[in-house]
Amino acid sequence: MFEVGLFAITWQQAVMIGIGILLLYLGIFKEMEPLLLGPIGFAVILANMPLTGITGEDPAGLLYAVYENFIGTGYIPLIIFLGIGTMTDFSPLLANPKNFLLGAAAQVGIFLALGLAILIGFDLSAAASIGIIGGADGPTAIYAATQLVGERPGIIAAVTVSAYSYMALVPIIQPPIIKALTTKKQRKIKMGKMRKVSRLEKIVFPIGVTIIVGLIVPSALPLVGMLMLGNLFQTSGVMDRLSDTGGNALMDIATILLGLGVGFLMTGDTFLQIQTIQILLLGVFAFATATAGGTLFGQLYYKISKGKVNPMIGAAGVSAVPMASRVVQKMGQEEDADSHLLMHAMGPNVAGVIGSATAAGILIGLLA
Amino acid sequence: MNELEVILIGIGVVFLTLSILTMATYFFGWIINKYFVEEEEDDKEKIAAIVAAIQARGGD
Repeated sequence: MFEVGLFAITWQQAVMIGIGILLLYLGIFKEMEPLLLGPIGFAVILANMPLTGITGEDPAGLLYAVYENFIGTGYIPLIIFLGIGTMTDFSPLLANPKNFLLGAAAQVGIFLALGLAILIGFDLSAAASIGIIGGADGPTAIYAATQLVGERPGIIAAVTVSAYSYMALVPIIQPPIIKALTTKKQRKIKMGKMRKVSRLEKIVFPIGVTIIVGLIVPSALPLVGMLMLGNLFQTSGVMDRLSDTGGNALMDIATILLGLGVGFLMTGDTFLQIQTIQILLLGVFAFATATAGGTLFGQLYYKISKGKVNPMIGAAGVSAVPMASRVVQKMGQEEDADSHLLMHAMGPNVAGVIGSATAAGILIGLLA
Repeated sequence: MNELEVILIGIGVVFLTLSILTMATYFFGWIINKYFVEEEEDDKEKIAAIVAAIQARGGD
């Protein structure tokens, strides 16, 4: 029987359509993660139109099928990680490996947010999914959430929106925290030139990281392994076609499917709940404490190096690549126009990608 | 496993893993540079291109 959607729409669906339009506005006109907010925003509108069956389970609607086959299985975040690997240059980390520890320090935000989420009343698996927002890595957050709370779409949707929103807001969230934890004199510190990294080091690195992480935290291997495979495509110098496809066409396809799948999760009945607001607030806390953790560890490096390390680079230990590095570079140049911290901040920044994937793997291993 | 154990194990294993990666990267970097790589001159243009690419790149 033919029915008119206009008379069947609920207030929750109307609100969600409004949120979809807002996401499109932020993506298109404010250029906040447009490649992701574009498909997500449009999919939210699709998912909340009444009587379409597009989110239906039987028969399977388009958005349901995309979510079940690609996101719920965890495949798409992993393919995106492969793409990120093809675009990531680990040279700043290889030139200064101690920056790995700045990437580790920034992950404390994950565990502090996990603790706070438990205090608020979330169970351990949900709290772990929320904590991962502090890793500041969208694909990692989605992958961890699908593995930990796969049967609770409302939490996955809120975690995803939170993770990507705050990544786009890095230039707003991080500077006040960094300023509060550093002095003007420290922010002025210029760092020396980094050593050149050989091609062989760059080739051995992804293979070595895969083996080491796989042996210590097997449950982190899907994320870290795909990141490193993508990176090997790039560093080998003989797999340019694969590197190009992984970082462009494949990544774009995965991003479209990710957007559609997340949109499926954002229906009025699952998203419009108090827990969504709680998760969004906990996400800010996770992100802020991650930035603080990295900066404070940067202070430790400042002391040990007797003032040669600018402690701000620790804030880039959150894995929002390369936004967090750009923030450090900009703040450094605000104090001294001749300061060039970008490449120094990229070391902790890419270490943060490995750190957050490792943290996610640990939580999945412990709780899934 | 209780909440505190998860938090402590989590932080501990993250630091352990990344500490091992730090040491391994230093060690293999040293081996590679000592025995397998001849000194090359710095390529300023290449470094400038990498910086430009980072500045232009979108987020993940």
